[in-house]
Amino acid sequence: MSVEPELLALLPRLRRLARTLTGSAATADDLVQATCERVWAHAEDWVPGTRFDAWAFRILRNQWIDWARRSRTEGYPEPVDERTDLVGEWGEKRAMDKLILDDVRKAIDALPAEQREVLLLVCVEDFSYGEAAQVLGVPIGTVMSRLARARKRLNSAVEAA
Amino acid sequence: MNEFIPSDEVLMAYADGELDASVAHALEAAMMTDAALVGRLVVFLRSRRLVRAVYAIEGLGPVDEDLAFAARARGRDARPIAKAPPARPKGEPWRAWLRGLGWAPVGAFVGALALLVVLQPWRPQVSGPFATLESGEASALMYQLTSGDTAELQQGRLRVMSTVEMKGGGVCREVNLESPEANTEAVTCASPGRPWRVLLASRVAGGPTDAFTPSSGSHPADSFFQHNEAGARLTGQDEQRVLTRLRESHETGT
Repeated sequence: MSVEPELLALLPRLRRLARTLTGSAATADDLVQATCERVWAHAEDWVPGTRFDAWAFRILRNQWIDWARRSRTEGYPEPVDERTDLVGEWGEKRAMDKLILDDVRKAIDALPAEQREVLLLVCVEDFSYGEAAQVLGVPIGTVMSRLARARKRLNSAVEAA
Repeated sequence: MNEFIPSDEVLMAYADGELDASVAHALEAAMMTDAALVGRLVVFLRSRRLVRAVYAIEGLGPVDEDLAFAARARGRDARPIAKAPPARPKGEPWRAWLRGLGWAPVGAFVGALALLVVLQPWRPQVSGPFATLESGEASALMYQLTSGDTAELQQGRLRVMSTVEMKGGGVCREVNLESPEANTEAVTCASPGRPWRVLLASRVAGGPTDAFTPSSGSHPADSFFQHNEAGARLTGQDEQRVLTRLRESHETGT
């Protein structure tokens, strides 16, 4: 069975997740291309009737981790849940009269990658906590703690703006 | 009196509709008497709404032609897996082909129109419309059929809707491939030295029909032609002259 229809339909969302992970449009496109190749190479592993998007997202994420490990660019695999030095950046937010969504975007971009990705999966892609945990390969509790932390940071950013 | 102090994760799960009913009832009861809990809950309700709004405004954006190519590259020109660290691959057949046509805006527009392709509910099939329309049999017919003509292929009925000349000397044909399973509208293009390739395709509703309907200006093909400053639709001797010239060019390799 060909995965081409599913893969074509998923491309825009794959690219959105890739951009969320990489923060770069060009790198994201390369990541999606590499993901497509892997999807084709392992197409027989996908079980029809299961979520193709979750399966492909997992492949994309694993590909990105491989790249990050090799290039040591973003330090992505490093756990950041306990890194307190990443937490206090909102204190420097400039005062603004009015909240605009640009500020939310900036706040999202400033999140650690592993918080950005869970934010996208749950709040935008509407994955359940359990589905997101499967994509990310972490326990549900980890998904929830990362997600709660990300959303509290966003809220702090909104209030500081 | 037992005080119920939920964690952030519990409040968030409630906001996301993922909290067990029994805990949700307890939380609702607690919120009746504790306004601070409601305030904490709002953090999670609002954050989800804001994040969704940001992504909704940004949209998914058009898909680059390279990505569409990669997604359906199987069975066509094989391309190696991108290596880390990421670098823009060069010389993809799709991009090179576009460059060969000399249409600067085509690449970007094909990227935008790729959504028209990827958002269609394609049926899984081993030999799809792209493969059919780029087959040797269909390519040969592209030189012969004039607008309104039909030909029976193994995979369905091919109908040529219109023919235009593009800036740079290329020729594009709006075609329809009708099969029992699907009705596909496509634009396939060629130029001297470049074989017929499908640049745009979309599955349309309604299924096969016997009626030939000239292009009305409301199809993706019309947007494609307009955006790329295609010439007027060719008919009669003009159409045959252009097709003959292209065929001879391909036969002689010039």
